[in-house]
Amino acid sequence: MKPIVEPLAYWRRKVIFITLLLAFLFSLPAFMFYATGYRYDIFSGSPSITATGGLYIAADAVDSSIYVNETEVTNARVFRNASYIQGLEPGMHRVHVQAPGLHTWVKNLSVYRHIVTEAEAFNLPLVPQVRLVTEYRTQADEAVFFMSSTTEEMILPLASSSVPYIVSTSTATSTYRLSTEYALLFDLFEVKASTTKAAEVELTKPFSFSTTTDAEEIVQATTTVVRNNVALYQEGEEVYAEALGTGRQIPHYFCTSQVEIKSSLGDELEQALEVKEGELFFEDTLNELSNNTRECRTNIRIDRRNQEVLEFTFLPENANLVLLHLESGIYVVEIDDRAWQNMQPLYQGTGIEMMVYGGSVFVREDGLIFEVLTEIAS
Amino acid sequence: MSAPEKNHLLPYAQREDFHVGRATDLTGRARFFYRCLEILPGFASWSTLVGVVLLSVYAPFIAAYFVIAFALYWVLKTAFLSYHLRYNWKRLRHHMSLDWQPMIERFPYQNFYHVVILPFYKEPIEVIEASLAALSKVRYDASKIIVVLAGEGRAAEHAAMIGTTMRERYGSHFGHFVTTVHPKDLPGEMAGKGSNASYAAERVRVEVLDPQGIKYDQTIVSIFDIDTVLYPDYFNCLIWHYHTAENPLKSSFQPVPIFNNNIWEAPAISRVVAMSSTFWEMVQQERPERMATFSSHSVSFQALYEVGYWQSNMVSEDSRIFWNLLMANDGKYSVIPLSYPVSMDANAAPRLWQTIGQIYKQHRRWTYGVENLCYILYHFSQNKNIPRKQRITVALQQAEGYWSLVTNPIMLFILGWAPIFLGGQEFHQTVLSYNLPIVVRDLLILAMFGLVISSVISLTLLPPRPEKASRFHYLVMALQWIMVPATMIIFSAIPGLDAQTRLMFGKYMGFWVTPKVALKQK
Repeated sequence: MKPIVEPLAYWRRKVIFITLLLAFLFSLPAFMFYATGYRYDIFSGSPSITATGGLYIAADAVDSSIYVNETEVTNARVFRNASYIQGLEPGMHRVHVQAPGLHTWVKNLSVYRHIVTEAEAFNLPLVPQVRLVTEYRTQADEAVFFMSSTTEEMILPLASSSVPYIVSTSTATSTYRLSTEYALLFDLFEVKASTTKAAEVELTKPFSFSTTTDAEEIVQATTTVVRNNVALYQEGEEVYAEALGTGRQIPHYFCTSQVEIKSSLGDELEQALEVKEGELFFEDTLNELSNNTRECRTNIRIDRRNQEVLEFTFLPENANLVLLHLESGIYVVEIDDRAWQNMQPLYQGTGIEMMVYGGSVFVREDGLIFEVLTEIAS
Repeated sequence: MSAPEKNHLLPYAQREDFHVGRATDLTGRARFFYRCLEILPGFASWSTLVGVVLLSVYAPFIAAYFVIAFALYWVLKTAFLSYHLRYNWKRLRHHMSLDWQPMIERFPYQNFYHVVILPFYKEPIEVIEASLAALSKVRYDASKIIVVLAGEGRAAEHAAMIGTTMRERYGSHFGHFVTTVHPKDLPGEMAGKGSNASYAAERVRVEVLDPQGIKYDQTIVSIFDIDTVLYPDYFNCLIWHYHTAENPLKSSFQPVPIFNNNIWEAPAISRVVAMSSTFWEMVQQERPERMATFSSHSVSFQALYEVGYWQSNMVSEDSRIFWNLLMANDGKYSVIPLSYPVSMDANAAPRLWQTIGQIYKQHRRWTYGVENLCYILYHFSQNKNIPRKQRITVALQQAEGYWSLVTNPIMLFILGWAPIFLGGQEFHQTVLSYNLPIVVRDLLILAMFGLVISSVISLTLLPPRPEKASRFHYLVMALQWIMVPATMIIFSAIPGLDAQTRLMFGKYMGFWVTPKVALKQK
């Protein structure tokens, strides 16, 4: 008499081991090819293995949708505020990033085999979002706006405010308190206005903006702003972005990889790296990628739509987007000049003043000071 | 030990270096060689980990492919081990359901005696009593059981109190009830379980076996941790395996330690770590050629006597005794898995942080078993009577085990991402860089199915639910396995690396006694 369940037989263990070993040996190349970007298209007329690339689109806008070649991307891998779209065939792809109530970001991006093309989309509100900064505030810390009637459209007809404020038809101020923020901003605008006038008189004298709080931003002169190893400077009527760093410090849109250059050379190299007589040249791919280096430019001209640039700086907390104060208003332009540079209006109007302070964009228009928000407040 | 005193030892066990515990026990070239062996495991583990980092910096593409290959290997290894686990679970349950008593009737076991050695230090009386109570209830002729309650001279008062109390309560239950107190600070000894057990074994030989004329080859010694609670058929199951073994005198018998005595009171982290240890032993039970004895086990007295009992100058004596026996018997020694459980305590302290600290120290002590690798490699180089194939196979298996214990979890869960962070811009812009975390993550999720099997099996090994514990606890016990990636690193890889590093630098560890407490039921 003995137990029915015998110890696991050695031969069974060996069979399982060999089965799993074979599974490892056969599936490992598949995983490696897949991870490198190779795809087998079984549904096409002539099934073949192709080397694909990918797109990495960063988009901060809430509820934004990404379209590639007019088709919404639904199976993207999401990394925080960005989407990774893989398995794209090499070539030009048109990317839309859109969201309700926001400008649409559109860009033609080249996809190269084995390479991920990165881009940062931005979507500003269609209707400028503002926060009024008034001279007086209630005890409950609400902005108080004095006017003869309570019709909101008359305050800022082209903008919308989701930050509550009180409209007072009375000029009595005894129940309100003075706003320190308003006083500060008012002074800053005054100082800036007077300094600009002085600068116009004495063009050669540089000045620094002592009230700037962004530690990363160094205002060397009215014509040079530096952030995260990218400098904005004006030369003639044009504004340029210059990469100051080396290696990884240089933003990707300044550079083109060797693989990208080779890809653009034509079919011969393409074929050599993909499938040749049914054989995958994986080692070649590895060598090519391992030896891949980047060719980088140093300067990119910022599109100003043939308007005079009154002022320029970086959009707060962003080294890839430029805030341009043009004749017709304030715009945000991306430095990335692959295909074209997207430009979206932040606040339009003539005769307005702009100032970046404490990570916010402030505008003074007809004596009214307000902050222009870059997103729709939730 | 003088020459006449060594006469009972097997020829190879009579060597001066047979019981080497560390390099400092040797002299000359042997000492240098042993020291190199002590450096080897830590060096190999650190080289691997640093190598992966360097590879990520200087050859990120190769590092990325290596990581993918490693993750795939891990998935398949998980499947392989899960299969063994599930099979052993089936066998374990079958063995627990059997009535072993009629099964041993055909064997001449009536003349056999069981020496049960219970070494203890400062464990509370409740823990010791629970073990003796269970021992007194086993389905076996109690007159054939010789209980040895082995206390420590370092806690002499406690030992005396326990000895007296337990003798009063249980002395009459068994054939013999021996209490010993291992003198402290004996020359050449390290304070620990091994020295205590060896002292107790010799005392029982002199005081019981020889005076009673009990034959050594008809005496089976079972050494149990003091918190070990026996299942009723343990000795029947042991006798069955002993008599069906090809060479019982050249075999050790290994039960499955299930750390579930206090499983309902222990915190989740303790439960996961404890069950993981059990599962590892269950997996090993189905591949006995890789087994060494661990924790509680049984062995014939004659085999023990032929090698001079447990080694008393090192930490992991529970496994070392197997390697002693393997070397002394020229490789003709094996472990026979019983696939029958013994219950022990999960490591638990009154406070969570104390528990975490205790688990870490306990696992560092267990993983310090890497000192056995030095012993194995050293004696494999000395004992040419062991077949070369066996020496190579065992050496590679053991080396791989200690290496993978430390490196695999760290490589998988931490260094797997190194190429992404260290690979440079050229690597960063490739599809491979973006796909690496996705592929590895998906493979690890696949590997998590192994945890589902673990979760299900763990639920079946639970003792009856106490009244105060709600049914909700079952859900918690099923979901607690999500912690495994963290516990593998914190309680396996890091203490293992700690232990190997200490050995590498010659900072030899002493025996750390896991505190046993009687936890109040929640």
